[in-house]
Amino acid sequence: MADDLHAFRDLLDKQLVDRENRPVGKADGLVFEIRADAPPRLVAIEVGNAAILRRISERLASAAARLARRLGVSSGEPLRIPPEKIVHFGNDVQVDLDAPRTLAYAWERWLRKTLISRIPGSGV
Amino acid sequence: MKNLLKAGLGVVTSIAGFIEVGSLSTSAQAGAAFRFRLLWAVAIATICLIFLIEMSGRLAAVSKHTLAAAVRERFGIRFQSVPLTAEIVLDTLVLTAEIGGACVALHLLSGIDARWWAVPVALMVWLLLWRGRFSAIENGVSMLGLVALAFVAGVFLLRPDWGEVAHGFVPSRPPVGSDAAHYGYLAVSILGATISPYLLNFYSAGAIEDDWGEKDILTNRIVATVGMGFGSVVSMGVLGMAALVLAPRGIRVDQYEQAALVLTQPFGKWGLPLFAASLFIGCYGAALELGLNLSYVLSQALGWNWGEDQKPKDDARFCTVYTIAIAIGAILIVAGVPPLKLTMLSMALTVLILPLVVFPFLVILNDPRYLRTHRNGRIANLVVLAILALGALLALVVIPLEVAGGR
Amino acid sequence: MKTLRLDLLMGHRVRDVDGRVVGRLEEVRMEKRGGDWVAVEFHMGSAAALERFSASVFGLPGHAQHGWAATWEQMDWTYASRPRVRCRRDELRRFTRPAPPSRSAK
Repeated sequence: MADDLHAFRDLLDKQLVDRENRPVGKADGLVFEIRADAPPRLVAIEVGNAAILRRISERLASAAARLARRLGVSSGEPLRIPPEKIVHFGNDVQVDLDAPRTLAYAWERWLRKTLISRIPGSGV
Repeated sequence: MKNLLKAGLGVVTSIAGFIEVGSLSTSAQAGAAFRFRLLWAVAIATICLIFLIEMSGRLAAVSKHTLAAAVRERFGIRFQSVPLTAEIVLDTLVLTAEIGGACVALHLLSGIDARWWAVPVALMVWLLLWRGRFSAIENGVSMLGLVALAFVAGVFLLRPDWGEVAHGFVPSRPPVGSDAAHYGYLAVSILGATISPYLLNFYSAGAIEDDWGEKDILTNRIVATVGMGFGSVVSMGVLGMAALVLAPRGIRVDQYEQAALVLTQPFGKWGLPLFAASLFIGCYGAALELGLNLSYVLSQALGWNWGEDQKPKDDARFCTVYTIAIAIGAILIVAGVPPLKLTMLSMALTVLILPLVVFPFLVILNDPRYLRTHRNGRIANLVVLAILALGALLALVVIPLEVAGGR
Repeated sequence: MKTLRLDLLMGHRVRDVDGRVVGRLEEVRMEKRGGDWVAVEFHMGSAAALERFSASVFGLPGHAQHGWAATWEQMDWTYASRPRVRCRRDELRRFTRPAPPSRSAK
C-alpha cells in the first residue's frame, strides 16, 4: 500500500469494493478529525446518497434522507467506513466489508423486497 | 468465430446511432429534400463516432472502467451531475421516441393505431431486459438489424448516378434557390442525432459485459469501425432511397407513411414490410440500449452493483431504473406524445451537452493510470479537439436552425 | 470531535491571513502515520488542478502554471467549512506543474 496518497485523486469518488470484489459504492465523502497539534486525521469514508447529495445541494440531501426514513429504507445516514477497513488502494479501493449487508445497500434491499421480488421471473 | 461475434457489440451500438427513429427520419428527410447532397454529414458523423467509440472501448478494455465510472472518478460528482442529469433526461426522451417508432412500424404492418401498440412494445422491451443476457441481446439484435441492409440493396437495384452520389460526399452549400435554413438544420440534425452520448457509455459498458481486456485492443478498433460502418451504410442507404424515390416526386417526408413508400420501387409489395421491419428492429434495438444505458449510467456513476447478466434480484436498483424508464415511455406514447417531436427535442439536447460529454475524453484517454501504455496518440487527441470544436459550433447554431429550418 | 468534510472543500477558494486569495483547494496529500491516514499538505492553484487531472494533453504554451502547497501547520481550521492559511501566500511553498509523462507512440 502506497504511503503517499492524494485524497482527491486516489480516494474520493473512487469505486469501493468488498472482500469479494463486489461494488460497495463510491467514496462519496471523506470525514477528517481536526486536531490542535496534529494533522487532520481521516476518520471515515462516507458512502451513500446522503453524502453525494450534500455535495450538490443541502436541500436535496435532506429531502432524500426524509424519503428514506418515511419509506423505512434506512435512517437516511450514509455508510461510514473507518479507515482501518481499507485493505488495498488500486484500480478500486478494497475495503474489508460484506457489501450486501452494509447500509450502502439499503435501497437495494428495499427495492428487491418491495418491487423486484413481486415481479415474476426476478429469480427471487 | 468468437471474434466475429465480438463485432456484435459494434453493430448493435450503431443501431441506436443510425437506425433509430430520429436518424432514420432525418436521413429520409435529407434525401427527399436535397437528394445526395448531405451524404457528407453522415460521413463526418461516422468518422467522429468511430473515433469516440474506439476510445470508449479502449478505456473499458484497459482500465476495466466504463465511461461513466471513469468520469465520476476523475471529475467528481459536482462536475458529473450536469451531464448525468442531462443524459438521464435525454435517454428517457429518446427511449420514448423509440417505443413510439416501433409502434408506428407495427401500425404500418397491421393497420392498428400506433398508440395501441405502446404497452405491448414496452412489455417486449422490458421483458428482454428482465430475462435476457447481454450477449443474447447484443447478438440477437445485431442479426435482426441486418434486415436494414434492404435500403442499401435498394439503392444498388435502382442504379443511381454514382457521380452524383460521389459528389454528395463533398461538403457543399445548399443549391441556389433551395431552403438554406432547412439544409443547415438537416446537416446539424444528422450530426447531432448520430453522435449521441448514450452510444459512448453503452459501448464501454458492453465491453465490460463482454469481458474485454488488453488483448482486445485491436479487436476493439475493428469492431468500432465495422460496427459504425454498418450503421453508417444503412443510414446512407435510407438517404439514397429517399433521394431516388421521393425526391423526384417532390415528396417531403412529413409522416412515416410517406417514408414507407421508399422501398416499394425496388421491392414491390415487399417494400412496405421491409421498411416496417427495419423501422421496428431499429427502434426496438435502440429502446433496449437506451433502457440499459439509463441503468448503466446511474449505476456506474453512483457505484451500485450492475450487470445485465445478473438476475434481477441481485441488482434491484439497476433493474428498477430501466423498468421505470420504460414505463414512462409507454405512458407518454399512450398519452399521444408524437415521437418525431421528441426526436427533435432530444437532438437539440444532445448537441447542447455533447461538448461536456466529449471533453472528459481528452483527460481520461490521456491518463496513464487508466490507459497505461494505450493512451491516445496525437491523431486521436486532435480528432477529439476537432469534435469539441464542431460540437461547440453545433451547440451555437442548433436552436436558431431548429426554429428557422425545422418543421 | 471537530470534523471537516474534505469532499465539500474541493474547489474551495482558500485565502491567506491578509484575505488574499491563494487559490482553489485542488488536492490534499496524505500520509500513513502510526496506523492513521493524515492530511499533511494542501495544494491550491492551477498547477494543482492539472496535477489532479494528470492532464498532459498539449502543454498549454505560455500558460503560467504554478500552485501553492500549505503544510497542515499552516492551515487554519477555525471555521472548518472555510479554511484559511495562517500566513501570507508568499510564505507558502510554490510548486510548478509536473512534467507530463512520456507518451506512447500511436
